Amino acid sequence: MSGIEDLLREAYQDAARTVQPKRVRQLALPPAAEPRRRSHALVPLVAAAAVVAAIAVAVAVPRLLAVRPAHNIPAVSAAPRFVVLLPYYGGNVSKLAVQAAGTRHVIGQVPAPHGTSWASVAATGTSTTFVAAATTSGTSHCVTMFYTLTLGPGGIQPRRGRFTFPQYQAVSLRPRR
Amino acid sequence: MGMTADRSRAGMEARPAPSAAQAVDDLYRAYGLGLVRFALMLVGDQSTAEDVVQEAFLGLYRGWHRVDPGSALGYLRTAVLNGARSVHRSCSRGRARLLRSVQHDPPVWSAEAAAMERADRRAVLAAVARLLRRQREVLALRYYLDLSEQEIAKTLGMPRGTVSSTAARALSVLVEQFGKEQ
Repeated sequence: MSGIEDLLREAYQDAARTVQPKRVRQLALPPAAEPRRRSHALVPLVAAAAVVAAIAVAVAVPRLLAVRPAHNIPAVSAAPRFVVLLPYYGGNVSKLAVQAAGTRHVIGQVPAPHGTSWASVAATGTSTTFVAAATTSGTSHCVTMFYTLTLGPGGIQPRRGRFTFPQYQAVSLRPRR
Repeated sequence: MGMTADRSRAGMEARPAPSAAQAVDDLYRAYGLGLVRFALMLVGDQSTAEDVVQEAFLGLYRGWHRVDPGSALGYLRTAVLNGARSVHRSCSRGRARLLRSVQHDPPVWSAEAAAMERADRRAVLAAVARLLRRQREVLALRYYLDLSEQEIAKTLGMPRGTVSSTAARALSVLVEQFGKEQ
């Protein structure tokens, strides 16, 4: 087996040399607080608070949306020109993909704000405006921020702005499993 | 995995919190490049390999208080293996086309990448890429990292005999393909 073993070793070394030390990016640890030991005594309290918050949101949001006048809902055009997708490959998602709806070609990418990764994205019904959720990573608590993404005429050079709630009504941000 | 449950409480609490980032950063400077190269053997392209290694170090940072610094390298190797498996699982779930267009470069051993000059070396790595996942992992640990069978068994959580037989089967497939046995 020595022939194939030698070839394998040489091939691995050859492949390894294609990674230049200067081209490997620096380690990006989250800028927030250092990791802390979790206080297990607080776990039941946190769980209870999460349940209360979920119930409050489930009750409050439909009522909040119900009082909005119908004429404020943006008209849905015949067919969307662009879609914004969340590529998932097992790790944090650092870029959203902008695709042309007809051809499914990727025509642009939207990087996540510094220190966050994209968690979800949804259309608003206007074909050029989307709402995306970004979460902080690496901290002991998770913070989610919402952004509006407005695409340019060609679907590229997307502009990012903070989301003001309530602003859009045709948005459904489904949590990732 | 490198996690130790029996470290003294005093030892864990005595470590000042601000040292975690520095310690993980030091580990990255020492082992980051090697682990990116190791991940490259498993996932094929440098960009994805760097993502996998960054995730491994981020996991180490998050769980720093549970990791024995002496076994941090073993923990990182296992985390890189798990990250590479996640990449392959995700790619096989139907988003491969989108992922290729957004995140992934062609494998370093493909002619398209033009990163490796020798065609026979490119071909052998391309053949390795077609092996079973466990075979690919054993070969990379054995012939790239030069780990012993015992170390491979510990890293992959499998019996030593399984490591030996897995490597033998993988080499047989490669020999059949290349006719290089001498």
